[in-house]
Amino acid sequence: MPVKRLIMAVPVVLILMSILVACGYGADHNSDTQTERKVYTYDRVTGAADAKEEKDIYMITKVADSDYWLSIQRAAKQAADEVGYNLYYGATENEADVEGQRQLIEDAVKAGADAIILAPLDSDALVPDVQKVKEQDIPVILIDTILNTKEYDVCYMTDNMQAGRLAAQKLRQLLLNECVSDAEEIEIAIQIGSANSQTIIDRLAGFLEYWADYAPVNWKVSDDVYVNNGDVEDAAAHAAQCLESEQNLKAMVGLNNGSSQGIAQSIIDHKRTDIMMVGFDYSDQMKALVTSPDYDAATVVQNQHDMGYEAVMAAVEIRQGNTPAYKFVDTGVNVIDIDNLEEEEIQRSLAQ
Amino acid sequence: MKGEKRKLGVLKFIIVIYALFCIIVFAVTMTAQENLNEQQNVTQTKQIAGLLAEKMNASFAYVIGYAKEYALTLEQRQNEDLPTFYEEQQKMIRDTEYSGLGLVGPDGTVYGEEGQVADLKKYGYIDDAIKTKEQYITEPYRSCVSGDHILTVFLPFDRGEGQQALLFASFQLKSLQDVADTSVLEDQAGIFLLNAYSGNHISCVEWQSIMPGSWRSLKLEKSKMRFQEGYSYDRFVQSMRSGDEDGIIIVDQDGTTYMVAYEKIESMPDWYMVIKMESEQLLDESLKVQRYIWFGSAAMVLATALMVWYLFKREEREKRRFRQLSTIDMLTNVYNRREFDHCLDLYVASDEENKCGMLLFFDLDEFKKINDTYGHKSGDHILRTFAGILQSICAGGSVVGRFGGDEFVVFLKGCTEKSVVRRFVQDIREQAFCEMAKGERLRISFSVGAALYPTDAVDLDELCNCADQAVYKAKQSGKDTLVFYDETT
Repeated sequence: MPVKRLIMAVPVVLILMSILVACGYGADHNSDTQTERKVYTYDRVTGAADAKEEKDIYMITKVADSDYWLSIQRAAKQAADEVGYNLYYGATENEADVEGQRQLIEDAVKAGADAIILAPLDSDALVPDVQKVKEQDIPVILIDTILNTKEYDVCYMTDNMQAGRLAAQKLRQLLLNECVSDAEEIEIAIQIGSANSQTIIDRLAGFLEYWADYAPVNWKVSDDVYVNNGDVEDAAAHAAQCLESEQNLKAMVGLNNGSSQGIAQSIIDHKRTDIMMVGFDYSDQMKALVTSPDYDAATVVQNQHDMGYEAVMAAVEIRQGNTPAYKFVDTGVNVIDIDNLEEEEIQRSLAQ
Repeated sequence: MKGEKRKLGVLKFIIVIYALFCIIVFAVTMTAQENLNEQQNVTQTKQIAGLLAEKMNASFAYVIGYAKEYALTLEQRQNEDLPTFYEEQQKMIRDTEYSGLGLVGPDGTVYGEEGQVADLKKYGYIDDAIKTKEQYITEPYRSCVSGDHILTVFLPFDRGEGQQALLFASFQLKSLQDVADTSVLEDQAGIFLLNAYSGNHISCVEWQSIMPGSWRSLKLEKSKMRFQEGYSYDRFVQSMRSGDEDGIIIVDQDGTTYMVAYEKIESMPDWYMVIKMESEQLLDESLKVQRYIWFGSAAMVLATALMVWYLFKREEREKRRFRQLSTIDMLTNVYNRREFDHCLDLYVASDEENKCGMLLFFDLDEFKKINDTYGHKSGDHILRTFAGILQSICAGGSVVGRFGGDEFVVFLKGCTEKSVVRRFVQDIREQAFCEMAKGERLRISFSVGAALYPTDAVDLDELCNCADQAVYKAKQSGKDTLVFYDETT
């Protein structure tokens, strides 16, 4: 009997110990998290440090170490230099740090910002913060993502639904160019990086809307939209699986950079010149596919330069008492393929 | 006894069958109740979707009604030019709910506010409207002017000579969203406008972190949905694409079961009003009723079972009491004659080998005199005392009875030795005293007649006679003595 009791007591003791350890860990971890909250600061990108005039623009974007945001920063700097404004730049370390952006907004106001340019991480959570900024008559210019409020002056971003439509339009064109008939039953596979990104969902919605209106009934978009959660290798692996197993596969679509990278890589690795592709952004893999005459591919590239540049210009206009003509400005996209690659406008957008 | 046991067995069997029957009926009733609840859920959800779609249709009709009437008046003014109409519109727009008004001439010239026209051209809606040649409604899109989601309706009107122009009016999606935003359903349901062909749907209310105006894709959500038996994604999509007026599906998503009802919006071709609600929410009230029914039914079954058990126990008690009444002598608490005879009969009829025993008749001496002297109460007391002595001295297996009056009978099973009997009687004699009132200790005198079974008689009646004769001899011999039957012959 004592042995039996001992054996029964062991799992109970283990469970109790686990609970104690978890509590201890949780307490330690929580306390660690609190003490480790990042405090963000601004970098002065351009302008005089001791400028007395009211010409301070504070730009807050999503993450610091990203080519996309750095190109927007460069464009904003260019505009600020042209108009002689000071530009301060702040960004969070990751796309979940809404508190970080909140802190940056507060700091900008305390520092006496004359205008704030914001790429909000959360379209709802930051609404009260922006409303408070507006109450102090500080212009707020949104870029990349819109807020669910009217309390901003103007928003410069890509109309992602339209971008999706244009991607669909381009794919339809590619298929028609390859003389794929309306009667031919083909399948189009789509991949996305996240099911929670409104940007990506809008692109998907735009693509599907166009496809439902204009594509032949027999050109079917696969019911299963694959979500690779930003994992490029996973995107490539799934694309490879589709290439090997789908009989009627004729085209593949990546609605964000990572998905496009993976799909393009897979098409190249499998030398599937019979598969058409439309992607987003201009990664090395997409570049290899688009520039090759062996493949039928196109990519949709945003005009992030315009976001940064026009946002600064708008800030200046508003400070001078002018109201923006429009509230929502679609900075547009370029659909790039081998035929228009060398056009000046395209080259300029790729150089951003 | 065997009969009693058999009856008990039957009763238990009946109780078990009754309990099983109750459980089965209970289960069937609950299952039927659940099915009814589900049906009710389906009906209610569909009704809600239907009501909202009706409201949507009515709201839509109201919103574009003015534009329709205006288009009709424009048809009456075919001699006037479109720029004139456009100027007129810009003056009257302030009095309307439209965010923009414009015209498209038969030659494709567009009259409209720059931003509004830029949006329409960007999305290709003007070309689509021209091709359609009848009322055309755009999908919701974000206006560059206001930043809000808007829709635009194109209404053709005749310009004479076979030419057709278009009036277009833009209005806020919010005016339709507000139709769906009710305090009754607040936070309880997701309400969407869904396009049957693309599967795109736009939210009308804030629900589960989905903001109004957010686009969603059915293709994307399909992977999270597990359709319950009888429903499928293909059937759902096909139903809408076939133009079904309404329908409902039940899906499991993230551990929760949802009812998704859809209702066609007549004024927006290819569009449906979709309501998505947790199954459990509609069940709340009916679940409460169901719980009451469950508890009530369970309580009734339990009460019935308890009642049956109580009645059963009471019947047992009554039987025991009745048995007691019919077998026990109430005064002395020993067997009455009937039961004594019965016990002997059982013994004789049993399968025991070498059955034998001594039957002893005890007759109290001068009992009548004692009754007369001390009273009947004291007489009863003496009888009870004597019976108690007999019971206390008799070994297990022996049977003690009272034959009436002052006569007692004892059967000593297995006893054949006279010496044992003498010792037995002597033990009784030594204890046969009774405490009377006023402290008197009365000696109970008795005569005993003994007959041996089966030696003296095999038949029990005959045996009793033998013992009776022996006790008679004992009385004649001076009382207070023991006489064996074989000594009387």
